[in-house]
Amino acid sequence: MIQRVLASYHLQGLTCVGLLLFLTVFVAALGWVFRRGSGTFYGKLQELPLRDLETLNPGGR
Amino acid sequence: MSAEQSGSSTAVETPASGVMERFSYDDRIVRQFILATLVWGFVALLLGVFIASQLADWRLNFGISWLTFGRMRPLHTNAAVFAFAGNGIFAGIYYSMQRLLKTRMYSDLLSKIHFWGWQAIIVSAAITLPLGFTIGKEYAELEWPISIAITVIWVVFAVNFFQTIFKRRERHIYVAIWFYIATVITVALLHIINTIQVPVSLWKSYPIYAGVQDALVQWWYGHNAVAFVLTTPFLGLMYYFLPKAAEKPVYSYRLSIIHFWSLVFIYIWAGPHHLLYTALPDWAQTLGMVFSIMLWAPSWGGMINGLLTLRGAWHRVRTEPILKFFVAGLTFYGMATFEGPLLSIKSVSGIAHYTDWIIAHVHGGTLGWNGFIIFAMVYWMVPRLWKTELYSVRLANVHFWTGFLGTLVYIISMWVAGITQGLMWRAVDGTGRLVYPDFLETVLKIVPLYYVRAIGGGLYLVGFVIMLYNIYKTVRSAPADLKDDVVSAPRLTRNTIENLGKTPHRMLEGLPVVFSVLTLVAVGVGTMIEIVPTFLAADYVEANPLLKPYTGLQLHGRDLYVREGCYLCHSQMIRPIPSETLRYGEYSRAQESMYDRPFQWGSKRTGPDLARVGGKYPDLWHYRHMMDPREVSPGSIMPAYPWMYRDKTDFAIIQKKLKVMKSLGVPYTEVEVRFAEQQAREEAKLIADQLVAQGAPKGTEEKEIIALIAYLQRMGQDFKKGLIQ
Ligand code: HEC
Repeated sequence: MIQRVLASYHLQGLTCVGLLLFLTVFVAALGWVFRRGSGTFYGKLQELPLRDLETLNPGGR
Repeated sequence: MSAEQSGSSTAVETPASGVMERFSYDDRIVRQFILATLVWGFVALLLGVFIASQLADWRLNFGISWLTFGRMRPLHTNAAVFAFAGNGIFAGIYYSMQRLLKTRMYSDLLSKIHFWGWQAIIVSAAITLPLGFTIGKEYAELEWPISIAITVIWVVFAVNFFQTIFKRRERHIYVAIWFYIATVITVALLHIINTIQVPVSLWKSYPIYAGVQDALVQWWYGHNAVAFVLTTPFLGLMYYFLPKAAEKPVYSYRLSIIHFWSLVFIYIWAGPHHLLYTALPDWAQTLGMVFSIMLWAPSWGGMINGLLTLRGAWHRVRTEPILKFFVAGLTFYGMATFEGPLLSIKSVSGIAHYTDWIIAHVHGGTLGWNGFIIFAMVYWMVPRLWKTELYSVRLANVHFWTGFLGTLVYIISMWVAGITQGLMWRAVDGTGRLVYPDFLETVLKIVPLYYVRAIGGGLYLVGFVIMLYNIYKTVRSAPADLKDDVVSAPRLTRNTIENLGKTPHRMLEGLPVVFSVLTLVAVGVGTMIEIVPTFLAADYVEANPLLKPYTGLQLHGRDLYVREGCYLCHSQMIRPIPSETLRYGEYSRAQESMYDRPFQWGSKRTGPDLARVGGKYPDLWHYRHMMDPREVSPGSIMPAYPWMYRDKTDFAIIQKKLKVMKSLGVPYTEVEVRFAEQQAREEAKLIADQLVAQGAPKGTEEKEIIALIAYLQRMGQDFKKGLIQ
């Protein structure tokens, strides 16, 4: 079974291209999210769903 | 009606934050989408239990055309995906985006058109699918007029959606919105590319792609319908509603971004895992397999991020049904996204494909993940939107446990059924012969599990009905006058945006536009690399002068095969696996389906493969089998098709069909098109006369069954005659 799994892993050209492209995207995203100063920024973003505006009309919850 | 209620906002100058604007959210539209979710959810689940029972007991097909399995099954899947999940997604998006962006929707009118348009599409699906109007491609069945309507309504939604983003009062765009954007863009792309059809009549059309190409485009679409209808929007909703319910921010914002880009980039490549061991070129299969396995990582990134959001709140899971639904939903998501990559490995697919294992996999995702996230969301939103308390937390807990149990019973029974049957199909004894040469034997073995599955689905439905009652009682206790919430937020000005030189408006549009383009690039790259070579490569679509296209009658019979949804129980693709070629004959070649619009390779074998059924039996066998399968195959669970013996063949339309096919490049001659009707009648007469000679009643030449038999007997003949190597 392991042999069969490996046999179907002949990564032809396009699969390699795809993998490289993905690696680029992944590394870029990783570099982007860990850029300097992003921590506080993301801390702020993280809170967005929790900060509801106060309702001004009676009966609102 | 006051200004707030009608949607416009009023501005008040305050010294601290510039211009404060009062406005209200459009919650009415959210309430409408929630009610639609509940109604269609009930319909979808009821249909599911119904077709599950039909497989357990064929008598439930009632011999009525519009109630048979082949027509009900597309209705069930469409109702579940586009009506239940679809409306649920819209409800969640409309609720969360207004609050995250601190603005009312851009246009109440567009929201209304979106809502009513979508419901009209669902109703037309509910009418046309049972009538047999179908394109014949899974999850993309709706015929061209409805397909166009879907495009129009989606564009209405997209305009409303993006305009709302552009007029937001919150500068930053939360990650949930990114997931929604990916959904809006990619669904449009998928739907349009996959359903380009050429009409023959108001309710019949042919796809512009044929055979292998049609298969690749369809499963590129099919798998990404799972990705961008059942995954990305739900992750977006999870990122909003889970923090709300847990009262904690998402565990890692960084992880959410990485998992977003990885998911969106990788998903689009994974489609070919539905076509392993088929006539699809090998490189495309490998590509699909590799990327499917990679999908595991970002999927689990999302699951882990969700579960860890509950850090410090786990004790509340015990008492709060909403959190229970979230935790179980995320766990099912994790399970399904572990199982998916596993099933994409060629040797696992060799056993699992075409069996009920796939059905188990899908329902782990839909019942466990999509259903539970929607339930969590509904329980969370309803009391807030109707400004009251949930009628009964206890009933919600009961709903959770019945739903959970139902899902488990469903999945486990189908795992067992799938693996059992998969192993039986491939069992070969020491002398090189099939251990179970009679396909029906492998079906009868698992029929008891079909009953168990129906019970699992039934439990899930019972849980749903409990929720309906709970929500009904909750809504009944709502105040009569449900005014929209009025809130106030500062308008975004140059100062708040902190960018010198650009106008605030430009800035607000800039970010989402850049983001949308990047998303389009991410999904576009995979699409291009995968699909374009298949369209350029000539060897498996090369014209073979020896290969004659279907005769008019065969083509018409093929359309009847599509109409009756035979492809939902029968494949037409013999894989190059020893046990399979032993059972069905030589494996299928790409050229064999080069004139097939739509391709009918199928995805499930409740009955045997039919790729080489032509010539296997005399016409009379088919004549008797279609009338009552049990007469020739005792115990069969295949439905009977008595109406095909009553209804007349529409010979007049055959010429039009050939014309359209010819315009698509199928090599029919002018003469063949001109005399299409006459030729078809002659061919039908010949078959009917032979049937009479074999002992069938007279006068059947005009009946649909004759056209169907003509098609069935053609299948695989080109290969048998040596026209294809
Ligand atoms: C609910 C699933 C189901 C549907 C729908 C269905 N079938 Fe079947 N079919 C079966 C099963 C199970 C068998 C095997 C038992 C038997 O011979 O009836 C079978 C057998 C067959 C066979 C015999 C194949 C062989 O090699 O022995 C043919 C031909 C066939 N079906 C044609 C059709 C056609 C045409 C349609 C649509 C009009 C259709 N079936 C719809 C389940 C189904």
